[in-house]
Amino acid sequence: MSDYNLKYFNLRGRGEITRLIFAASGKKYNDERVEFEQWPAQKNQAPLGQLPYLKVGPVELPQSLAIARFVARETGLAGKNSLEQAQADAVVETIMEPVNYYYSNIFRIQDADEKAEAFRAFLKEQGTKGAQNVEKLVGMYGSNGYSVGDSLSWADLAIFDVIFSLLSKHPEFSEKFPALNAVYENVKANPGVAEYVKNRPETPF
Amino acid sequence: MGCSSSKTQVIEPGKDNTSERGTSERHTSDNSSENESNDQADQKSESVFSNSRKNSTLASSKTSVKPRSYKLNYFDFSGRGELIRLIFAVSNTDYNDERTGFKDWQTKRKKTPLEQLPNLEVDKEPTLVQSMAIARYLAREMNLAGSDNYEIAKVDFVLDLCKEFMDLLAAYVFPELLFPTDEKEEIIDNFLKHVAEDFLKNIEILITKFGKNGYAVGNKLTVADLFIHDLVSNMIKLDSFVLDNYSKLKQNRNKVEDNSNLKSYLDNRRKMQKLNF
Repeated sequence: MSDYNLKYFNLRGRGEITRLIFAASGKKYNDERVEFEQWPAQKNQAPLGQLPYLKVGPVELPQSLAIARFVARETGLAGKNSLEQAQADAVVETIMEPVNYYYSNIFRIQDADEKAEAFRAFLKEQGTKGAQNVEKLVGMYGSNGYSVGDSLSWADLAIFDVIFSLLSKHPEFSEKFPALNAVYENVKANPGVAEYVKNRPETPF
Repeated sequence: MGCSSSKTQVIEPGKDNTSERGTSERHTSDNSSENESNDQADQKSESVFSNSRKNSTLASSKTSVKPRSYKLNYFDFSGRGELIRLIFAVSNTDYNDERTGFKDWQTKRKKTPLEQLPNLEVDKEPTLVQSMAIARYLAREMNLAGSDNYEIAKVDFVLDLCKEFMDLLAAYVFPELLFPTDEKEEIIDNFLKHVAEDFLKNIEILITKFGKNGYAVGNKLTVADLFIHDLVSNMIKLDSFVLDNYSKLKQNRNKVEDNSNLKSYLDNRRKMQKLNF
């Protein structure tokens, strides 16, 4: 029985960054996945009625980034000192900008053709701008396939997750964003992450 | 607005820096005695957490011996920069408060890393971007982040909710205040009735759950108190009675304004305010 219980849907979505942090660090946790049909009955147990939330001891913590940042601190993946932690925060906030745009504007489109068209436009604009911004930050703060400093942090895992889900569909991604691509490849090669990705359930997003 | 005196806070490794504030030449005795009595309370509660979540090397920076030089780049209004100014004010930390006028922004923007403000220059380090990354960093440096990993997480959670609300303020309200349209009254009315009420309701619940002695989280001042104060200040400009139904938030605001460093900063801000917000 582990100390940590992460509760989320059986999706990557807003829970995956925390799962990747656990995977990279090797720290054990209970990866509780709720099916959609079970959710309405359980909704009022969740703080603010939302998923994901993390239960650790008596504390129930919602908000995906607050959870991820907490687990990153617990597992030593927050950044080696206060300034690096700030740089990691800045990288994550920046890469979340296109992701939040996607969730607000594209994700809910019902019509498949309309959604595909909107997604193409998104990649060209918000997706590209977001990637350019993070590419710039990685150049400022990171080195050698790490987005911050010279060791793995949760910022690298966030980059990996977003690239896997969204930006890998960007044409010529690896050529246009070499620093980001280096981070992506570096995380892919991390043994804990590789093992986890190999075995995780396949989900639409 | 830039604080140009040479006094900066000396950070001594291994010491709890909250009680060091008495070394300032300015009148900070109220603040330091408040922190000292809170430190005693903290020492009691710390033993409860000593086996588990306390991670003090990450909770506050004890690694630097020289005072840091800070330069905040933002526009000449409160917006997303004010929380950062509040952190500097409360901790009595010198910094260069660089304010860019809107007409200068088009030329200045190319010189910023992501063509966005605020950003923070710290010594010769690469420029730090993202208002929340900056706020969390300075909160850690100034011992305003929370006492242990659990508390830091609760503060983080409150900050995330506040940030969501700030994003909505920035999207709907600030544009109407800067460049009013015919819909201004209706937009602000709707905003107060729905978005603001939801936010205040949630924060009232959280600070009741997380905070003691009038503070938002734990039993001393944290950056969560400051962000709540900042957002309510924005709302009070739109509706001076906005906290009428929120007794905990009212109590919290009074408690936060008891802080003498903050009091003098707010007094000064009221005098200096040229724009309405």
